[in-house]
Amino acid sequence: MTTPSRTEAARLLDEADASLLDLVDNVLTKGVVIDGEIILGLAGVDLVYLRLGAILCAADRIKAQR
Amino acid sequence: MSLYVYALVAKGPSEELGTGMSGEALRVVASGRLLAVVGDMYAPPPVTPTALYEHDRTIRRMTAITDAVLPLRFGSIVDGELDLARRLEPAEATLEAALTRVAGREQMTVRLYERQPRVEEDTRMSAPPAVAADLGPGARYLLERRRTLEHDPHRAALDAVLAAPASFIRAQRVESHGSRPLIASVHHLIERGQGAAYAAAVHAGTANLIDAAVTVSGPWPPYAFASGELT
Amino acid sequence: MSQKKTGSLGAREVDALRQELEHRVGELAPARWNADPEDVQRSVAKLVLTLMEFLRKLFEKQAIRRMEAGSLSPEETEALGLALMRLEETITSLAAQFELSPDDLNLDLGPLGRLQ
Repeated sequence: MTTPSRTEAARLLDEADASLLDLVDNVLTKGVVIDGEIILGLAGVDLVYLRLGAILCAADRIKAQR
Repeated sequence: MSLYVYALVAKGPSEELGTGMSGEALRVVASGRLLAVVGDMYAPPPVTPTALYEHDRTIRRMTAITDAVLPLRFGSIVDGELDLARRLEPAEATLEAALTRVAGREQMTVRLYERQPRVEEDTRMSAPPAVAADLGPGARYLLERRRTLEHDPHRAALDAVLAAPASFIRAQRVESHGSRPLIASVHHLIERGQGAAYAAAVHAGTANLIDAAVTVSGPWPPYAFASGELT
Repeated sequence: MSQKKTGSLGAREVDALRQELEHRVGELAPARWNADPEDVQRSVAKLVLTLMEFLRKLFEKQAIRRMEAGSLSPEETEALGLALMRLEETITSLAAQFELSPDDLNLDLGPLGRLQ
């Protein structure tokens, strides 16, 4: 995995114009991550969160019993 | 020899794949139930603007020749096809679902900015209502939290950004930011080809905001809709 | 697909985006061969705290709604308020220990929309 070191990232960003910043946002902070076992191993948690969110929001809309 | 992995695709493209960021030939490899677009690479690419642009260019070429493309993060390198399969396997179902979601679609990004520093008088909330002296700290806390939530100065602007292009939105990701004047970034997944109409709708719907301004960029490959991590 | 941008940006806006990205990119997991156990801990802490913050916001919204509707007794209001106050303090202080900002704990629910 090529993860920018803090100095590489700082240098890249210092000199970046607006459109490079948008590109950095997309290609360096988004996209599927396959390195970092803890992140990929927890990829299924994304679905858990979404399902949990759906359950909790549904509970939120249930009128109080009293 | 390592593999640089650019994206996952749902179908092997029938057209020429072309070359990747180092001029290497691209190929599609199967990894469990998934297909990945990869290139052979001797060494990890440097983190330079050129490399980032080439990574994006390669992914855009994939979107031009096949319908469902899920980009990987820049710099995704694996030891080989077995290593790739091992890494993708735990998230196979999630990634398949993400591929289905992005099929035939692209990403637009709206960034919301405060238009100008708010004048002191404008930001002050109304004075807290007089509360009964016998309210405990818990009740006072709830009242204060309610006041804070009601007076979110950016809520109207963000609601406008989310509502204006409503008919185009197939999926949505919202990121709040702390560095003022930047307030938030909104990423919307839309049907391919709708970018100009989407941008027009967002600008029309936010033109009357007094204290906020937006920029719209895109279309992008669906970077923000790649399940695999929590943003 | 060729990308365009509309809307104009001044220097202040560009600098703000630059600052945000410096923070985000600086947060990324280190390269495999430099893996630091503390960073793994931090990833887990971030997940747990993000979930806690999500629940806190949900409970807070519910408590305020019931307070406004008058369906809470004064004792219940006080107890709920205290519990939420302590929950907020706990989350904030734990996040600070792992050098996480409030923005880092923001969980977007995708198709379900923001919780705010």
